[in-house]
Amino acid sequence: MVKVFLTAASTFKVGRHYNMGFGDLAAEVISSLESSVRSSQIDAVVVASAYPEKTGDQVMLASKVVTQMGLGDRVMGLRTEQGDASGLVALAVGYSLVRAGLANNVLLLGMEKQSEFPSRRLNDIVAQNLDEVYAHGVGLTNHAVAAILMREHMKRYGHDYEYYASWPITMHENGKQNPHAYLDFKVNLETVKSAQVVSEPLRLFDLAPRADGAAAVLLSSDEFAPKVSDSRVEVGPVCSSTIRVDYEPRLLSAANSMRYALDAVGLSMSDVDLFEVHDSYSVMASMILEETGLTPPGRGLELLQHIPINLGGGLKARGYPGGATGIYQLAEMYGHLTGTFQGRKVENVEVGLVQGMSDLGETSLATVLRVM
Amino acid sequence: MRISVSRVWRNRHVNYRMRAATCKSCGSITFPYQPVCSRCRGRNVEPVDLRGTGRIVSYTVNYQYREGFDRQAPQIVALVELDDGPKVLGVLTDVEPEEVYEGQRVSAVLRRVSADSYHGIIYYALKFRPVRDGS
Repeated sequence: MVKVFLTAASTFKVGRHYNMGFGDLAAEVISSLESSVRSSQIDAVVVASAYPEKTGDQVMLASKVVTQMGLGDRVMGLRTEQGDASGLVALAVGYSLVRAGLANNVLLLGMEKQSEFPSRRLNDIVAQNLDEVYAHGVGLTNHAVAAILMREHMKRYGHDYEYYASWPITMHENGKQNPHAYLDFKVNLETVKSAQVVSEPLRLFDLAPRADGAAAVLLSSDEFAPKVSDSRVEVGPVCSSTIRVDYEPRLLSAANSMRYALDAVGLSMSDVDLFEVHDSYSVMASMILEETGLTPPGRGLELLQHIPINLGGGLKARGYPGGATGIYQLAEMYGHLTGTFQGRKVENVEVGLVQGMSDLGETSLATVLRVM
Repeated sequence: MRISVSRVWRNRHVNYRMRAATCKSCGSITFPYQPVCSRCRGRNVEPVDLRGTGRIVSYTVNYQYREGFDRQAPQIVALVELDDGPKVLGVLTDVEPEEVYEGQRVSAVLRRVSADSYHGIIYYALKFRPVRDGS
């Protein structure tokens, strides 16, 4: 059976790139992978992007990348869209192509533009995540749904607001050291507690800042991987779980996807050296970490004291580039596993768990990256 | 055109009458109405119009509204446990944030939600209003 390796990665600083369109972002990250792209024959490009129709009046992003970058007329272009989970869905597609022997090298490219409009317009675009018939039309927003989940989490576990503040404080400490982080500054408890209320009890620092971004990773079959890279980072099966939000303060989709991904490679939670999780909101980070079983129910954020998590600053501080997020997560984890990450590091990372999901966690995906 | 006329028409039962799906096979109730049961995947579902009464389980006052909903800010969003079973998220109306509390009885009412001012299309849907003595 063909094995799948991650052989190269590139990220571009998340931010407000008013002077860059999709083509500029693609050129930026693919050009920095030029030597890897040259030494491999790319068979497919999978673009992960959630909202380009609304934010940029664009479709056919993958085909445009293939022609703009001159990747060759045999290269197949595809795009994945599952909201903010699009990045890891792109991994699932690329992984499947390589594993099935249909492609030797697949480029995954995450791209999102979210800084073009004022926040009320962006809130409207992101609300496309909500159901078509009722919730979207009545004017609900993702933030309000997350606020209800936070309120339920607080009630269930008796937390006050300060419990959640540990997340942005730690993520900003991490982000400060990451050159590709959007919010590369520290914050203290007072700043977090007194920040603007978005949707009670959610305040500004409890949600991840949406911005522009692009990242790319290259997948290669075991036969081709040595031609591209000396590193040996194997990608495990990409596992997914999808469950309707029922407003209970749990994230069963995250629980399932992480467990399936570890089971698929015969490992357990305690084998994981580094976690990368989809912290669209602080309460989501808490709930995801609770689902690892490494902490008592309701106390997920206490894991920050014990295990390395989101060393690049997570969505909170690195920034939240929508459907491109999963590709950033993979690229950063690749950096940790190969010792090339330009930011906060830990020693001896050999097993990394990457978990990514839609904004509110209806669908979650996970995979294990390992140094072989 | 910002609002699709056919979408408004297509979804009228859900948005004007709170139409849900009752599964004749497994008994589960799903709101909004859908032509299949999510629990048992059966197609043996029947439309049922919910009474729209219930109590507030949880709520939030949301200050980051969406484009087109400017006049409704701040928006109070509540998780409502309906007397007919399902929990739904709804927008509250006819109430100030400081008057809302958990456990409060609410009832669905038809309200103007958004409008396409250029084409004159109005989107009506259900919001929830506290049930007060005498109302």
